Amino acid sequence: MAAPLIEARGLGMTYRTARGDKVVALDGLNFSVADGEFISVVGPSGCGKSTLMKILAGLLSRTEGEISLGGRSVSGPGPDVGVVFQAPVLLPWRTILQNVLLPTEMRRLAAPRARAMALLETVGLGGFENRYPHELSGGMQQRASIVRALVGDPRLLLMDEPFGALDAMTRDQMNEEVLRIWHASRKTVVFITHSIAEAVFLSDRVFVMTPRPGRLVEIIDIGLPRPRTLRMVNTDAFGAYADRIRLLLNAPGNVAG
Amino acid sequence: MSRWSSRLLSPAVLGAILLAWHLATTQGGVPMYILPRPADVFWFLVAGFAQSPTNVGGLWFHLGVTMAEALLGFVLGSAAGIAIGMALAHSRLLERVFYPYVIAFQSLPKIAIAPLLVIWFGFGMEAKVVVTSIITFFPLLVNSIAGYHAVEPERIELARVCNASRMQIFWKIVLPSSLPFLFAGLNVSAVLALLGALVGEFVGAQAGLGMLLLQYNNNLQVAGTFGVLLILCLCGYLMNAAVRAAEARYCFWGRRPKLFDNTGS
Repeated sequence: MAAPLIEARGLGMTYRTARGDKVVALDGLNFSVADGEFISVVGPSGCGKSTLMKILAGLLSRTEGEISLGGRSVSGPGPDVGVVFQAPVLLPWRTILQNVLLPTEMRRLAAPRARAMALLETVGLGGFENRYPHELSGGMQQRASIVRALVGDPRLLLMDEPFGALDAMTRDQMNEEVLRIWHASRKTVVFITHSIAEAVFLSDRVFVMTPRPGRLVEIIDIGLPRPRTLRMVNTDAFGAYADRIRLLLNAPGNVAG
Repeated sequence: MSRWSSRLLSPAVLGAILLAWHLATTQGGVPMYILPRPADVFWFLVAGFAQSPTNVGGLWFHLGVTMAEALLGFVLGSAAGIAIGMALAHSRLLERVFYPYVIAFQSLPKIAIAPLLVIWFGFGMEAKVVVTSIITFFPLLVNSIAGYHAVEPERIELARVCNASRMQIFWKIVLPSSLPFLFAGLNVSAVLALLGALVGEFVGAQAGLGMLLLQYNNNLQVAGTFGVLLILCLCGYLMNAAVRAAEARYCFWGRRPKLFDNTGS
């Protein structure tokens, strides 16, 4: 097996509050993610999943342990990582194409126009490249932000609860879309969510986290066949996985006192 | 009411006012030094604008002087307000140190320092440009600080994920994000700019619409006073329209935030 893309050993993060108290957001995480894998991280709010996302994105520096991406220790943001945020965060004064090209523009690279147009086409935004964000629906805006994350051809796609703000039907569509993009691009995806069903539906493996302090309590292999369809959500196998995760999250020892 | 008749209503009101005005001055016995006849104001304007712009006796000359003072002061004051506002907002320390003084100085009616500025800068255009700059400075300062702090943190985070430099974050994220606030300030300043130039001229001047206004008033040439007031009305309207047009062009996406009004002048 090839060397893992992401490797975390004893990864921890302790914040200091304004009053000088210590808050442990992440405590002793050990995991590795193989190239091309689809990983979801689930847990209730306060379990440190957003902190983990920010450390992977290079926006926060860990306080304990080690984390590496592609064999190199993570020390800041870089072109290897594309990030999709909770909100689309499109700049309203830029057209969709200009928004999508922002990462390469900031890095002073040649604008990958053809790639951007092709990606827009694959997410169903062909013909919208010269529109402004406010002319697009919420789901379309989030698709554009996925294209923006992919435009620099990163090895890792980080998605931080990207569909939390969408209605349930759009959300289902977007989940299928993400799988389609993942199949086509073979990126490694780390997908953060608080929806157990979403995590099971999308992932090869689900990282289950519990709060106070943020710990990785179990990694569950999802053996459902691919390609996955929304109909699988009603199967017994799917339900069994979802149940197991729910039990882990509700286990007495894991509930904050 | 149909669209046509409601569109005609506004000119009709103007016509009615002009007619009432005309009747009051011709039939109603209102003396000429209180209220000039509409026709007198009209002919005053025609005669004034018939002169060459270099003629000190014509209206173009004085209009040019006042507009130059107002526009120059507006540009200088607004630019300084934006630059210093952004710098203050960027540094928590600077903001904490200087903001109390900003508030204190903002509370001062700026007109009160106009006489002092005439002593410092003389009776020429400089004093008026300085008054206008100071008056237009504050709306932009306050709005720049507010605009800077209103930038969504997610946008900064996005820029950081893209390895943006601090300069890129300022020019490509912070400044455009603050545009709705800056335009709110510019809208206020555009009106204040004319006020600044006029007040400067009232205190002491050799040229300008403000000086003319005082002159006509002292000589009881009320037609001239009314004529200058009309010109000022139009100038203010045009400056405001120019700012709004710029806003529509460069800030088409922005919903107008609450206006940070600063009329303490």
